[in-house]
Amino acid sequence: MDWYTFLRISHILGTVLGVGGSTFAEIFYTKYQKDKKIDPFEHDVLKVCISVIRIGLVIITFSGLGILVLWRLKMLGPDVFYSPRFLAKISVVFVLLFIALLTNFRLINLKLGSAISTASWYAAMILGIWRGLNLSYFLIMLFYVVFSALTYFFLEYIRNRTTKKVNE
Amino acid sequence: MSDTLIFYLVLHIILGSAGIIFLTAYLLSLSKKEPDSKSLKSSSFLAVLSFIGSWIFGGLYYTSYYGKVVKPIILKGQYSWVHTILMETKEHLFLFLPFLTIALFVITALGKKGLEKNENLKKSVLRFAFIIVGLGITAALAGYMISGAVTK
Amino acid sequence: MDKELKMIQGVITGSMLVVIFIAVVTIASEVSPLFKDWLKITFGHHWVGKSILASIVFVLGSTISTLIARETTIEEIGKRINLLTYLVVLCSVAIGGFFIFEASI
Repeated sequence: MDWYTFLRISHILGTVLGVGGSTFAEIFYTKYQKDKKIDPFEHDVLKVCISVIRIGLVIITFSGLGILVLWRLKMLGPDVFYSPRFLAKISVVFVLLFIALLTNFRLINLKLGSAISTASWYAAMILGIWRGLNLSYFLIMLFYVVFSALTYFFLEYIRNRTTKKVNE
Repeated sequence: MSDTLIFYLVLHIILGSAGIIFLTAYLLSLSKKEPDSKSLKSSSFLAVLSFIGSWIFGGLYYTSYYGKVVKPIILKGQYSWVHTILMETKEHLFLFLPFLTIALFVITALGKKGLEKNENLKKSVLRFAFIIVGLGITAALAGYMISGAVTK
Repeated sequence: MDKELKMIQGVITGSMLVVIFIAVVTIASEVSPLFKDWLKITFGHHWVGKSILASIVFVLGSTISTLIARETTIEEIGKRINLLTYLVVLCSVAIGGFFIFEASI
């Protein structure tokens, strides 16, 4: 197995862990917060999800860096490095890392941070797969911001609905 | 590019990234209510070693290959500003990193009691460490843009 | 404790000196081709010269500052770290700004 294949497998694995981990974190949190309290078992489950997300983030960061090094050695040039889609993906990964830090320092509302994080994981995955995407960087980032906002409001709506049902 | 030069470039990137990661770990550790002085000392020390290593290997690559081969390629292309602005800035800002990280290590190693008891000193050191991380990330992003401007 | 504070003060002063030195020597070598050539001839490469000279400035600056340092307090150390932080930002902006300016003319 060559380095490129190994790094691509690692990168996909990291993405799977991140997307999966954040999806289940949201599902479990929505389910657990119905009774407006998180008991120790529920807290543990959420902690496991967060650990999985963090492992995914570490894997995609290192494997992504490795892939960039290989691209540099192949001299793939501005067409690849400066492509709007790839620059947008890198920006989204930076947002993910930044949100992880803000959440750790408790400098961001937890629900907002987790919604942006979930949206970012999906956005990074889509931007990685959608090779034919032919939009400008600013348009892609605009869609990403809108997507993040929609994710937040969607999750809030689902949580409010489930809490209402329990109270009825 | 020869295997030796690939080795220099890859080590420059890996060690530079490691330096940023160790400093971020330092920031996270220092921000806790009761920072662990052992973890602070080890992360700042590892950051020093990483940046010095990145400096040496980056320097070897830069002085033996970049100027003669890579720089002309970038200057000929449509992104010549990547060298004239980004690379020129990066190669000089990078020089700050080893010295600032050494200072951070010394402050951490010798100022343990102060960091534990004095909240203002802790905030000052946090700000200082944050700026060093910022410099490292700036250098890394510039490195990305420079790598991207190199074409066949 | 006093010795340790003096050493911390010394290394902070050394860092301030090296940051200013790097900014000055960077701009000077671009503005004066003679100076850049001197660095190349003396050290083999201008950047190697700047690295070596910066290291000397840091070591000497930190050592001398530690030796001549007066008694200080933790609060003073905190203020000096803040000053160093501002200096780093200022010198970084100066270097980046200079190259942007040079590229635009």
